[in-house]
Amino acid sequence: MASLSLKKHFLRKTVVPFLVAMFVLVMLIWGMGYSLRQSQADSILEYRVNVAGLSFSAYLDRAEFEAKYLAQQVSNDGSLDSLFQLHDVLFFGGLDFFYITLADDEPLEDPRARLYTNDSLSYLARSARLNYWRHISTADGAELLVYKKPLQPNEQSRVQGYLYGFVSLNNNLALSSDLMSGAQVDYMELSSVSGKMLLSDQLPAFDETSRAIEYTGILELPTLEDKLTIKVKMARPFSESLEQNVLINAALVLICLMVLFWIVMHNAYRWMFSPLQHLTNHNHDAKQQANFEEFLPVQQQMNHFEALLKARDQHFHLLLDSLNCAILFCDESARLTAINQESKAVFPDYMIAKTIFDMTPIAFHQPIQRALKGLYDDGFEIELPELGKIYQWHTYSFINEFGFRSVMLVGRDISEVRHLRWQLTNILPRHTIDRPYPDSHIVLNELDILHRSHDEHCISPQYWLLLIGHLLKQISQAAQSASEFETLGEFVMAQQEELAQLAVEGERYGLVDYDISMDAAQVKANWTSDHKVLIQLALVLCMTDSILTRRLTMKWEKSGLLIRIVGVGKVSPAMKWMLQEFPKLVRGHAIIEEGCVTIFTSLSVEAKSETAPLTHTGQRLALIENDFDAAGYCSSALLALGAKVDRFLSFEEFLSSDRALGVEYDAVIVAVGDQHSARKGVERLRSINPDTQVPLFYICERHTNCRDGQIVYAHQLMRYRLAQVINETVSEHKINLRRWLSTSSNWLIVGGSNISQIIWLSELQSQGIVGRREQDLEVLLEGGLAHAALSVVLVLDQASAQRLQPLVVANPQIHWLVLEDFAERPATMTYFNVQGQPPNSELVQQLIQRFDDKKG
Amino acid sequence: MILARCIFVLCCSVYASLSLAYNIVQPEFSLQRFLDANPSQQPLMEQLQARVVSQPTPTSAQNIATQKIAVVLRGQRGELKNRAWLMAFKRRLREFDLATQVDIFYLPKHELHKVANPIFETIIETDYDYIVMDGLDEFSRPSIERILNRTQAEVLMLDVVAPVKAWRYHPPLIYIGVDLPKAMHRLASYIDRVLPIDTIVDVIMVRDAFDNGQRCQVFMNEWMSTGRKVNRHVAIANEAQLAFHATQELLQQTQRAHPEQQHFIFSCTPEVSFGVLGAIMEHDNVLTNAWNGQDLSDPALRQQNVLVTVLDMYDNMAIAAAEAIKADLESRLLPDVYMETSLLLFQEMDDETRDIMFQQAFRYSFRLWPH
Repeated sequence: MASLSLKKHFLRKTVVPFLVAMFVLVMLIWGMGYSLRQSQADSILEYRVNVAGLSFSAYLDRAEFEAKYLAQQVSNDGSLDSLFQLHDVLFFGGLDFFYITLADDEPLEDPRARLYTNDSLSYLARSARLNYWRHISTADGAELLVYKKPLQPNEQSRVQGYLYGFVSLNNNLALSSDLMSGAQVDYMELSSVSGKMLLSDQLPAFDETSRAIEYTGILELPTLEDKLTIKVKMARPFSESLEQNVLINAALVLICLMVLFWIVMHNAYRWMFSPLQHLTNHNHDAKQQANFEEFLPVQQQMNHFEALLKARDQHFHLLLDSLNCAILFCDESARLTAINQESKAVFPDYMIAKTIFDMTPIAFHQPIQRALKGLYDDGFEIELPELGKIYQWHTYSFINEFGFRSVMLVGRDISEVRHLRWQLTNILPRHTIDRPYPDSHIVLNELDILHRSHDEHCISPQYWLLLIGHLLKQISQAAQSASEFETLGEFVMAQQEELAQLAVEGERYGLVDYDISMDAAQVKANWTSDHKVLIQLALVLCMTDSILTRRLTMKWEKSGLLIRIVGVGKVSPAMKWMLQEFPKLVRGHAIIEEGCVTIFTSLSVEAKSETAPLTHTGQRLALIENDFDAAGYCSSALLALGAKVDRFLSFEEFLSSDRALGVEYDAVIVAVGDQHSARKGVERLRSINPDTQVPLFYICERHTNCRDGQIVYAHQLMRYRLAQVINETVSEHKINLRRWLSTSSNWLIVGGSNISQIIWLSELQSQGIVGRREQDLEVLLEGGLAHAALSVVLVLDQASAQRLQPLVVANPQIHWLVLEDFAERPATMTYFNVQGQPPNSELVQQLIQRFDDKKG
Repeated sequence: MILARCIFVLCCSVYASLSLAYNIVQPEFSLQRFLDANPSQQPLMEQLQARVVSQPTPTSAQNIATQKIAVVLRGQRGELKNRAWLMAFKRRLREFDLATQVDIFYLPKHELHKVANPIFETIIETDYDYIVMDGLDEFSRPSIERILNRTQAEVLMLDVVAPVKAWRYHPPLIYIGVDLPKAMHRLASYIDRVLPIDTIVDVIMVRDAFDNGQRCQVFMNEWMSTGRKVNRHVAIANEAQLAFHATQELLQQTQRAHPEQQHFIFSCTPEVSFGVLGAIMEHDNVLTNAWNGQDLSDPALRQQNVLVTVLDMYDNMAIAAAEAIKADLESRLLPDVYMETSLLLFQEMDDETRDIMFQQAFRYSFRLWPH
C-alpha cells in the first residue's frame, strides 16, 4: 500500500484556503477599483458634458458671427448673388442656411434651405427672436435652431430687414462632430426636455449592446433658450476595468499571501513535522527530545509493541533451539537471516558466508534454488562426513514481510533412523515386514487347540498341521506368481488339488456342500496368489468339523467375490488370525460370526465368458455306491447337472442287474466307500470290457495315492468339478453292458435262494465269469431271454428248472445247466452234480471246464 | 503679332469658361497632420498607388448586381477635363469587368445656388451605390452630409486636399486629390535652382480662393521658404485677358527699371498663363510656367517662354476612383486619402521626352489633351 506523505497532505490542505483567500482578495480589489471607476466615471462624464456644452456654445457663437457678417453684407449690397460670393464665410460659418426679410422687398431665400426642409421659411422665421437662439421643429422632421438679426439701419436709421440664421441639429455633421470631439464620448444624444430626439451621433465603432457608462444631464447654453437633455455614453469594455492600480494592488496582495503561506509552511515543518520525524529516534537516545503530550500515547504503544516483539523473538529463538532440527532462514537473495544452534553446528562457517550457497555443500544448491523459485520440494538427504551424520532436509518457501520469496531449511538427523532401517532390511526378511506374519503365540495357541480337540476334527491332526502350515507359509510369503486369469471353478479346483496334495494316504475328507452355481463357476477373473491362499483358507475352514457338513457358498458380488461358510463351529486361533489379517492383502474383509464366516474379496471380473455351458443333459451316468456315505448327495449333485443317474449299490448289481443291461452309460462313477470292492469291481468291469478305456471316475472319501483314474474327493464335490470330470471321462466309448457281456461267457443264475445265487455269482466272478442272477422267474418267463446275450443259464433247483422248460425249448442256443436233477430234464439241460455242497472254486472250475467241453 | 493677339483673344474667351468653382481651402499642412495622426494610412496609400499604376485585373468579386454610380462633375459637359476624366474612369471600369451604370451630373461653376438643389435632390432620392463628387463647396455640403449621414451610398470626394474634420465620424469612402504641397514645393525648388538670384519674380494670382487659387497660395508659401522674394503680387480674376493686361503692365514697369534682367512671372492658373504667354511672346528674358490643358504646340505661343509645365496626373485620379470602387466591392482595405503627384515638364526636354511624359501623365486620355 502506498504511503501518503503527511507533509504533502498538509501542504495541499493549506494551499486551498490560501488560494481561496487570494482569489477573494483579488476579486475584492478589483471590485473596489471598479466601483471607484464607476463613481469617477460619472464625474468625468459630467465634466465632459460641460465641455460639450462649451463647444456647442462656440459653434453657436460662430454661427452668430456669420449671421452678423451676412447681415452686414446684405445691408451693403442687397442681393443674394453677392452673398454667395462669400464662399469661405458660408462654408465655415456655421449657419446652414439663412433667410432674409427685407422691409419693402421680397424676402431672400437661401436655396440651401430646400435641402433641409420644405416648410415655408417665413413661417419658421416667425418663431425667431432677436439675439438668442431658439429651437423649432419643422413638419418634415428637421430640427432647427433659429436666430434673428436685424440688418443695418439705413440712412434714415430704419432697419431694413432681418436676417434669420438657421442651424440644423439633426443634419449637421460639423456640429455633431464638434460636440463629440469636444466631449470625447462614444455616443451622444441631444433631446428636448419633452424627450424628442434632436441630435444623435455615435462613433462608428460604438456598439449598442456593449457595456457603457451613461450620463444624462441638462445642457444649458447661454445663448440658447431651450434646455436640452444630453445623454452621453462611453463604452467601457471589461478589460478596461483592469487598470494599472488594480493590477498592482492585486499583485501586492498575491505576494503578501504567498509570503504568509511560506511562513506558515516553514513553521509547520519546523515545529510539527520534525518532532514527528524524531519520534522514532526517541527510543534510541532517550531524553534528548522534549516529551510532547501528543506523542505520549504513540510512544507508549511503540514501547508496548517493542516489548511484545522482544518476547516473541525470545520465544522464537527458544523454539528454534529446542526442536532438535537444524533450521535456517534465508531471504530472497539467499542471505542468512536466522540460524539455530544445531545448524550452527552443522555449518560451522556460517559467520563468514555471505549467502547460503557459500556455506552449504553443492548438493544443497539445487533444492534451495528450486525453493526460491517456489517449486515444491520433496526433501533431500545429505551425508555430512565430518559430523558422521545423515541429515534429511526439507525446504519450505514462504513470502516474507517485504513480499519476496524466502526459504526455510529444516534438517533432521536421520542417521539413527537409517541405521535401524538398514538393520531391519538386511536382518529381517523383507517380506515379513511387508506381509502379515503370525506371531508365535498364535501358532502356540493353534497347537494347543489341536492337542485338546484333535478328536473332534474329522481330518487328522497331521493333515491339519500341514494345512495350517501351508497356509501360514503362503500368507507370509510375498505374492510370487503373476495373476492368472481363469474361471472361478477352475481356480477352486486347482486349490482343491493343491490341498489334496498335502494329504497322506487314507486321509479322511469330510463332505463339503458346495453352493456354487454353474454360472458363477464359469465367470473368469484375475486371480493373484493371495486369492489362491484365500480360497484355500476357505476350503480348509470347511474341513475342520466332522459333525456338521459345511456349506460353502461362493457368489459374485458387484465388486468381488463373496465366500460364505455356514456351519463352522469354533474357528481355530490361527485360522482366526488368518481371517483377520489376510483379507487385507486381497482388499477384502472377513466377518467371523457364530456359525458363519463371511469373506469378501474384491476382484476384477470379466464379463460372461463364452465357454460353452457344461450341461450334461441327457447323459446317463451310473453311480455305484459301494457304501459311500454321501451317495445321495452325489446323485443329487449329478442330477442337478442335468444328467440321468442310475444308482447301483455295488458292482454286482451293476453287472447283473437288468437295469444296467438296457442302456448305454456315458460314464460310470465309482463311489469308494469300500475300497476293496470298488477295486475289484473296476477290475471286473475292465476285464469284460473289450476296449481299453472305461469311462469312469472315482468319488473317494479318503485320500488315496493310487491314481487309477480321476478322483473326486468328498470335500471336492462341487458341481463344476463333477461336470469337468464327467466331460473328461466321457469319451466315445460308452458302457454298454449288453455288448460287453455278450462277447464273453455270460452266465445267468436263477432259482435257489438268494444266498445260494449270490454264492454262486461270486464264485463265478472270481473265476472271471460275468454272471447275473435273477430271482424272479416270472420276469424271465414273461420277458423271455431275448434281451440277454446269454451263453449259460445255471438253474440252481429243479422246481425252477421245471418251470423254465418252455424257455429251454425256446432258446436252444443257450446252454442250460441244472444242479438238481429231475425227471423231466430235457436233453439240452445239462446236469451237474455238486453233491449238495456249496460251490467252491474247484467245483466251479470243474463246471466251467465241463461247460467248455460241452461248448467246445 | 497682331494675328497672334487675335488668336489669343479668341482663345481667351474659350478659356474663360474654364474657370473653376469654389472649393474649400484647407491649409497645406492638414494632410501631413492627418497622415501623422494615422500612420497606418501610408502603406494603404502605397498599395492603392501600386494598383493604380499597374495593369487592371478583372474583379474577383462574384455575383454582384449592377453598380449604380453617380458622377457629379463641375463645369460643362464638353469640357476637356471632364471628358478626359470620364474617359479614363469608364475605361478602367470596363477593364474590371464590372457591370456599372454611370449617371453623370454637371454642376456649374458659377451661381451654383441656382441649379444645385434639383440635382442634389435627384441624387438623394435615387438609390445610388457610389457617388463621385467633384469638389466641395457650401452648396454641395448639406447634401453630401445627408448622404454621408443617412444613406448607404459611398461617396468619393475628388479635388480635396485633406480629409474634412467635421466628417471624421461619418467619412466618405476616399478623398482623391493632388498632392499640392509636394508639387508646389518641387516647382518652387526647381524654379529657384534654375533662375539666377537676381531674377525678378512676379506672381499673378487669382482673386478668389479657387482650387487653383489654393495652388497660388501654396506656391507663394513655398517660394517664401526658399528664401527668395516676390517682387510684385498681382491678384486678378481668373481670366486670360486680365492676365494679359496685367502682364503688360508688369513688363512695362520692369522694362523701365531693369531691362536686361531675367524676369519670371508665376501664372497661377492655365488662363493666367495663357494671358501671360501672349504678353511675353516677344520678350526672351521673361519666363513663365504653364499648366496642363494648355496647348503649347502652337508656334505662336513659343515654348521658349515656358520654363516649366506642371502636369497633374488626372488620369491616375480617375483610375484611382475606379480602383477605389473595385476595392470596396471586393471588401479590401482602402486608405482614407489618395493624393496624386504631378509631373514637371522642363524647358530643356526634347519632344520625345515630352511625349513620353505626356503619355505617362495621361494614360488613357492621351489623345484628348493638346500637346
